[in-house]
Amino acid sequence: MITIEEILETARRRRVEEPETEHEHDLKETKFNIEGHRIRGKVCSVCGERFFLMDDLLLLEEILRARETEGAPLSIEDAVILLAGTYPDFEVSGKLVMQKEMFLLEKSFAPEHRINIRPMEFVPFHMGPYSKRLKQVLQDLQDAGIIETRPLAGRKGVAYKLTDRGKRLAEERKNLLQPEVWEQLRRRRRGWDELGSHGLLRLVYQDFSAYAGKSQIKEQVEEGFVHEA
Amino acid sequence: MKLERFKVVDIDDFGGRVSEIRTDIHRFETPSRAATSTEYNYKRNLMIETPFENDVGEYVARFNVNDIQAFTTRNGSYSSRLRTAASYADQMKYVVSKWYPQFPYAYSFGDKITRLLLDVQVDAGLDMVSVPHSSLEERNLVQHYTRWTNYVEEYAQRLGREAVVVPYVPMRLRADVFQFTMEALWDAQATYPVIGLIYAPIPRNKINYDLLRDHREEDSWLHMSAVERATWRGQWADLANMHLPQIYGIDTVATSIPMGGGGRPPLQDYHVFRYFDQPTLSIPRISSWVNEHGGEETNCPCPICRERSFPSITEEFILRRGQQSDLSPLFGAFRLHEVFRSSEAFEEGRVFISENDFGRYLTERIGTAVDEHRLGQTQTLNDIV
Repeated sequence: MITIEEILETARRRRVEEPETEHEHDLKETKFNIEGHRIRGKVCSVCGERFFLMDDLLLLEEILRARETEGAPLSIEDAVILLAGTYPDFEVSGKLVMQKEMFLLEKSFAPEHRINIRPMEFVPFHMGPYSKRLKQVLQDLQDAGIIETRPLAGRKGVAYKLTDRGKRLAEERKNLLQPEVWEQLRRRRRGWDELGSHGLLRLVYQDFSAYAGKSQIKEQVEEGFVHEA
Repeated sequence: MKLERFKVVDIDDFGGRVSEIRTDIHRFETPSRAATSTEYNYKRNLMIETPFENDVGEYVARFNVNDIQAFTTRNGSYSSRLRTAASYADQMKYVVSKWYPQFPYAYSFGDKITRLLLDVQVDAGLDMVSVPHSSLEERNLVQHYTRWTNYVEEYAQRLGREAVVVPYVPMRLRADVFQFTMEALWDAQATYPVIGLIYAPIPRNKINYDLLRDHREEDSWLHMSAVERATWRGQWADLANMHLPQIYGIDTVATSIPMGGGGRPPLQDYHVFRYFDQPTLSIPRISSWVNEHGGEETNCPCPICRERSFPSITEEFILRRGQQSDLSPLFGAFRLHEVFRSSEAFEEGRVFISENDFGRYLTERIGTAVDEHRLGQTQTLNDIV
């Protein structure tokens, strides 16, 4: 049996240490026993590096988050309301921006601040990480009159905004986070919005390259520095 | 956006004023600097998650002669400009957003392109709508602004939007035309609460700048676009130019961007870049800065430098992220350092203006360069510093 700590330690070592030899992985399919859970994946017969099937990892992710954080996990609904509620008068502009900001909230901001959010089951897709569950939650929140959409000015797509009811809910839900974490989330939301969809994609592809695997726009995202001096 | 209040709250005898601006969603004080679309691009490309602290965002739209031709004859050009403007309006939604059409100096827009330039700003949802000037010699600029202001107001009303109209006045106008135009705009403060100014070098347009300084009590928001980053002349070369217009009562400033044309060879040495130095309000080449400070350590806490050395910043932004030997993207990193730190410098300067001590503040930072901006002989304030 392998423990989660052992996997994390191996991953940490790989990040900080120089690889001893360059080689092509020789991968063999296998099923790992991680703390009693059967996780499908592959192992390299040369270096021993393990690769896990993303679908099976969700379970481990939940266990790991519960272990590292305190209190009940935030629902995806609450996470959307909190993100939108950081600046209730400003829209989240576009489906892509909503998906990427929620992805960064779950994968980057939440671990950094020891917040437990229910996994949104992001998978690599044509424009980076994408969550069907999140899409459904957004639709449900809209049907319930908590968020509303309107067409984006001058572009295709829709912007999301809290309704008056949604704003009241956001005010209540704010207490789910420590005041200083709430302030940090406000700063982060503004910082993400200022990056625009293109910058968010760059950030996600840079920091979570595994989710860029199926991207159809990876090259365009990576291009494009204006040469000025 | 609705501009609810612009009020001059403090005037310094040497120069400068502190004003308070309130909109339905923003509240801030000036003098301050705007962040331009170019700076937003650098932030995006370098993936900097720290938000800007600025209160005004300016989308600088470059138009060379070919662009102007395309804009009036091709559907694609308009829709592409609209998409871009809307995207910046969105990224700048936390600040007062506006655009500045940067076009060749002597060019004068005809009716058709002026209308399109105004339409695109309203359609994109920018908070302010800039009306470009017509000819530089005409005394009827005010008529021109009035005509197009009416047009914008009607168009925005049809779309159910609020838009603040900003007439753009070039600083290089002949002194009598400049005075006539500014006085007419000041007289029509209710219609023109914000006046856009196109930068021109201060020494060559001193009469116009002094007119602004003499009218520092006017409750009109003066925003200046296209300010050159550094002075280029002899003994005061490397001064950070954008900190000078505030002496003349200009409330907010935005830097110019290159007009483009021709590529540059890849840059291999970061020492050629400019680096903003807050204590001296200057922007020397890094090679000079390193000589002056005796080392490569920046000792700067901004989100770019984070107390690191120049080689380490280069490593972070270029070698690790971009993995390339061309250091051009690093230009953006140092521009962002400048946005963060010079915004702090403006904040610091506001305190001195409020305490009527701005002359001393400037002298301590820019030394004898301050002499060029002293008041004339008839004034009694020369001996403040």
